[in-house]
Amino acid sequence: MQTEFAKGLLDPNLPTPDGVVGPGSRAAGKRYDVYRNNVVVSLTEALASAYPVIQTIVGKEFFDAMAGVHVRKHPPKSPLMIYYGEDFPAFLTKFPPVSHLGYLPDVARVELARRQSYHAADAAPCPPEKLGNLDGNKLYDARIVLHPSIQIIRSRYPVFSIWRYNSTDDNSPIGKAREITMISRPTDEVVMQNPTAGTAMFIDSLRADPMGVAMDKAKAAQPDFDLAGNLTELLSAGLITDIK
Amino acid sequence: MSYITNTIPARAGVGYKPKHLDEILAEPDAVGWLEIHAENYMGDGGPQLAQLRYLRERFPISCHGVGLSIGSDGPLDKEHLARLKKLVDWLNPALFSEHLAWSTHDIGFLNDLLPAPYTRETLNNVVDHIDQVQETIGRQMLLENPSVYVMFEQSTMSEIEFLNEVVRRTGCGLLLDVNNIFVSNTNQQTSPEEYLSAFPIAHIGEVHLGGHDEQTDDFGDPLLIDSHNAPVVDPVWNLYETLIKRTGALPTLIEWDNDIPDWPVLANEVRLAAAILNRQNKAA
Repeated sequence: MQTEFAKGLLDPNLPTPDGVVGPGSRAAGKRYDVYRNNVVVSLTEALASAYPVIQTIVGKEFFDAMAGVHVRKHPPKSPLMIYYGEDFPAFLTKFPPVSHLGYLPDVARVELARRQSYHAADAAPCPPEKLGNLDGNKLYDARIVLHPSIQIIRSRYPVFSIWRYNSTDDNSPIGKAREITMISRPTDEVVMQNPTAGTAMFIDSLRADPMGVAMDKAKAAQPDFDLAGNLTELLSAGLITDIK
Repeated sequence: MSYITNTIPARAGVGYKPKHLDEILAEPDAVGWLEIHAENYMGDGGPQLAQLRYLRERFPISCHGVGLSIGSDGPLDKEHLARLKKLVDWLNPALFSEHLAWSTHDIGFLNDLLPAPYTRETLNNVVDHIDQVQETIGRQMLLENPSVYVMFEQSTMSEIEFLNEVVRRTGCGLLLDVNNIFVSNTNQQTSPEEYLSAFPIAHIGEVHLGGHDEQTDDFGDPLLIDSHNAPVVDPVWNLYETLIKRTGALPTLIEWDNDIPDWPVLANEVRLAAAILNRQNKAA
């Protein structure tokens, strides 16, 4: 029973399920369509609230039509609607009507990362003295624990600028160069940054490597990488939660 | 087995929306309690959870699930039950409620409260699922009567008979949504007053009031949609007052989830419910 009912909700070409009727056993018609509409509209709204910049770029009418295709193909896997839409960036890479907007999937990845960062676990910042107290000989092997909300998105497109242009009052012109976007939520607000290649490499590497290795990788990516400056900035932003 | 039962006060409360935080805190006595949707607070961290930790120190909190899919013909999602247990354990809500509906199937979570036929088979599933929820969270839960738009030829009992059996077999309480009574009975061309007079009122732990949208079906007959996007209509207030005269004051929630209005509009609905509760308290 529920299989037939559920399938029909996502496929408007299927008939009303057996036994589903209106008063006096007459055809259910529009009554069953209420459920069809509720499902597609509520999932479309959930997607729109997760991807406001995508909606701004393509326009509401187009977004709703595209979301209608997406939500029928990829209904949520869990009842946690706060995370719904994780398949959307990949969907955009294969949706022919937006293939001319090559940057669109990466903008969507940035929006997805923003939401994941918003709901990420909380963590208290590490007291700055902990860095100063580190024995100089052990600095290379020290482990820097980063805030769980940090996300780094690399793109062939200037997606940090595209995001900023469409989400803030900052209408600086968008260049052509590729950009890295760093997203974090040290306290209540999601913070968006455009880190250098060295900083991004340093942060990515710290997830697995001791500080010295991360520093070497960062310098390979950006010869003038400034270790002390980066550590101070991460510490004061509350993005380092422990040093061991 | 005995479970922790409902401790929400018999006052008017409101479905909490973050945009109303400042106004609610500015006049905390205006609302007796707050209701939250469980699934919105199942993330790992962040400002929403911080807000709820703050609010739970100041208001009784009712935790209303929208994703368990109690009416599913398949098993409950174990991961989701574990998430609910985690939330209930730290939040320690004054009550937990869910819907007589299903929303999860093999194809995914459909984000709507879908109806099931009232049969022995559905009854057995619902009873098993409520047992499982109550065992998991160690509390009595309330089950909410649905808004329905269709009927099932497969049904072999009425909604009231179905709810009576569920209560008898699980020991759960009931959340009576008065707007849902009006919506479902209008849609089925039956009498909301008769439904209310047959309802097992002794088991009501909470009342919901909300707005609906009016459409028509293919035959030009009214088709009401439980949209939670409008003020409570007069016939629903009348049903509510009839109920409260019989039961005495009950915890009563104003639900407004879509096209969320500014606080004064919502606060006015809360005052209207509070006025009916106060009248009853004085009469009693």
